[in-house]
Amino acid sequence: MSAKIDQLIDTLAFGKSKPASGPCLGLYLSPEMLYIAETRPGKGGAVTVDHLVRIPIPPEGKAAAAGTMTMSTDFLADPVKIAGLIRQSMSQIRWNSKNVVVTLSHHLGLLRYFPMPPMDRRFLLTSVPIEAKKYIPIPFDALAHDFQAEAMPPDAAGKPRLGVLIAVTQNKNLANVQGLLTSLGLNLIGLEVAPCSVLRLWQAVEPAKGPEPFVQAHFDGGNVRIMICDRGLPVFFREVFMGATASLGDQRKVDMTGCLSFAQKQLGMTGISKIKLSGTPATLGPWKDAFATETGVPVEIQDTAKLLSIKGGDWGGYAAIGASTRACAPSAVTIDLAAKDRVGDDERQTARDIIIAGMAAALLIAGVGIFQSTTYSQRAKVLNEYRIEPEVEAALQGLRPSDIDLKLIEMKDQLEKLRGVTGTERLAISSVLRDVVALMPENMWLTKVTVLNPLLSEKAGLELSLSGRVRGATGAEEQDTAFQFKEVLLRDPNLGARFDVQISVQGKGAAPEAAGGGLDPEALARRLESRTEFVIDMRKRKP
Amino acid sequence: MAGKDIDLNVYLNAVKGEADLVLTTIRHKGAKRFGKAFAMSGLLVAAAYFGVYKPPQDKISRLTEKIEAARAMSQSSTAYKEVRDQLAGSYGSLPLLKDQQQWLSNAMIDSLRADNLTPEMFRPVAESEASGLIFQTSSVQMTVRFNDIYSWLLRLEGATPMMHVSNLEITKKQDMIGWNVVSASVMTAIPKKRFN
Repeated sequence: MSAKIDQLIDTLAFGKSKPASGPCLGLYLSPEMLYIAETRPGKGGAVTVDHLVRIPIPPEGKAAAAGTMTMSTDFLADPVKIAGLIRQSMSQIRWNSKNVVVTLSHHLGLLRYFPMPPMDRRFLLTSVPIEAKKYIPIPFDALAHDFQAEAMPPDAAGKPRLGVLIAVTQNKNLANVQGLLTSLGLNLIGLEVAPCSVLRLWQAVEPAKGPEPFVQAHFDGGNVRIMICDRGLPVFFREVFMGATASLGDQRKVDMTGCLSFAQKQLGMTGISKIKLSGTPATLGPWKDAFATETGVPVEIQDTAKLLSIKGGDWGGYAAIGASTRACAPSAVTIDLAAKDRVGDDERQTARDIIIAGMAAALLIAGVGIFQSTTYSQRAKVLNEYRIEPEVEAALQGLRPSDIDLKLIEMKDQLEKLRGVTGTERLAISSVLRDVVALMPENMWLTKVTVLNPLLSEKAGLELSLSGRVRGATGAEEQDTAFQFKEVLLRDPNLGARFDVQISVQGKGAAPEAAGGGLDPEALARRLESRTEFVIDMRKRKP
Repeated sequence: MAGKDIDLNVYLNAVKGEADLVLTTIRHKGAKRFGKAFAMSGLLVAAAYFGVYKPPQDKISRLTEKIEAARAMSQSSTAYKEVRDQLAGSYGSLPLLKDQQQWLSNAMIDSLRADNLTPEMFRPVAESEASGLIFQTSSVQMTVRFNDIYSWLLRLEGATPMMHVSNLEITKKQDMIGWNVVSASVMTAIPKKRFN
């Protein structure tokens, strides 16, 4: 599951495409022998081998490689020649895939497992090569490497440790393998070392029944390979080459006890469940008894060829088959020497954290959104609580609350202004004049009327200035009449309540009998008419 | 019953450790290396925002506006109707804006004709504007009997739209008994905007 998540993150965050999951070829490269295998998943997780081709290397090729038996680059120095051999063999069979996982023999690649102090994963990329120099005495500048690190049992002092599985090959080999496959028209989808491929095959054909570590000893004539497998990883691997056959006389060279002792002391491994023997069937029987006696650990024989339904096989063939199952058989080993721009654990974790943070933020946002969606109908009910008359709704439709308030303010403001113009308190001049004239006595008349009646009532109110004259028997009587008229105006319910009334009277002073001396009757009459003049000012009271 | 204590520090330290790792790695490798991860996170956030959060948010936003508007309408409904009705009453006694050019002078002439009065002087309409109202004034001078003045005043003061006599001066003519020289200014007001 974790591997799948890592793969997903690699694909999403770093654009690493998923390894081809369809048919895949396995190519075992060794200066002595080449193998090409094609497999497919069988029923119940079994591996079905479609093709397994063995390509012997001509003697001249072997001679060239024989000089350096470990980490050689000479064998692959002429990819065209090797390609010719492979092409010739491949042309006789129809292959279903162009994807190839290449697995290297011990001549071309090394596998080591060692403990190191635990540390943050982001430091592993630089620390592991430095630590690996203790176990691989080859300058790392010339090597391509890949590793995986997992927690391992603590040391004798109880300190935690990190177990590092590392594979290396010469940089030149990497380039040569790439060139070889390119010339064959094949795609390189993985490059590993043979122990990893074979372990994958063993795990596929006969999965471990429990988590306990076990030993697998493989006999190819005199070539013996001993692998200790723990948590799905090859934590110990040893190859012993003893000529054509391995007899029991070579038991000390094989040194199974030493292997187990190393694993126990150096790797803190306990509880090895069994020893599996595979390889050349004829030699396995005696070795089974010998190992059981030597170690006291149960020993069983695994007939790998029979489990694969093939006639027979050796280490190289099984490695090729195991390599071809890389895409379909689960394995704890993820080492790939061909992986370019490899994604480190720290990078993967960082990318995962970034994506998780994004997902968390997205979930939070989506959660709020969903919550709001669920509360929408609840909020919508509030809308029905407000009963609005259709005419009001039609008039205020589309206005925001602030606009409604603003409109109401504007309306009230205009209403206030209009009240000053069309207010009901306004007095009609005609009715005031009518009342004044109706109250005037017979011997009184007006000569001038001035009316000021501002339109805006907030200014001064209605003002009337009534100028007139009075005729009486004497000047005093005329003035008395004028003053009485003022009182009449004030007592009038229509006028007195609404107006302040002031009167000024001006008398010419002469008595009619005295003034009349020497004047003709018409002139005398005119003089008497103008003897007493008055001005009445009526000012509307403010409410 | 003793509850199981939760040590928040453990979780905080774990989060801090992850944050340190992320910051250190980004600083070391460069943010570009994690461009796709950032883009994916951004995409997820954007998808959640625009796909799930924003649509109901917009809907709720519109609903909230509707509710606020409905609340404002509901609260202002009575006041609105009251003011509107009062304004309608006032508008009824005032000329329309479209009649601004000719109405007052025509109404004045019509009123004089109705009472068989002939002005000796008729000034053109003067106009001023204040507080959203247009004030128009028309002045007239004539020599008439008091009864005619009274009749004319009654007509003006009963007219709809409003014709307001703002100034009136009646002076008895000395040489013509029963006749008066009358100067009058008549005003009206026109609202520039009507809230219907």
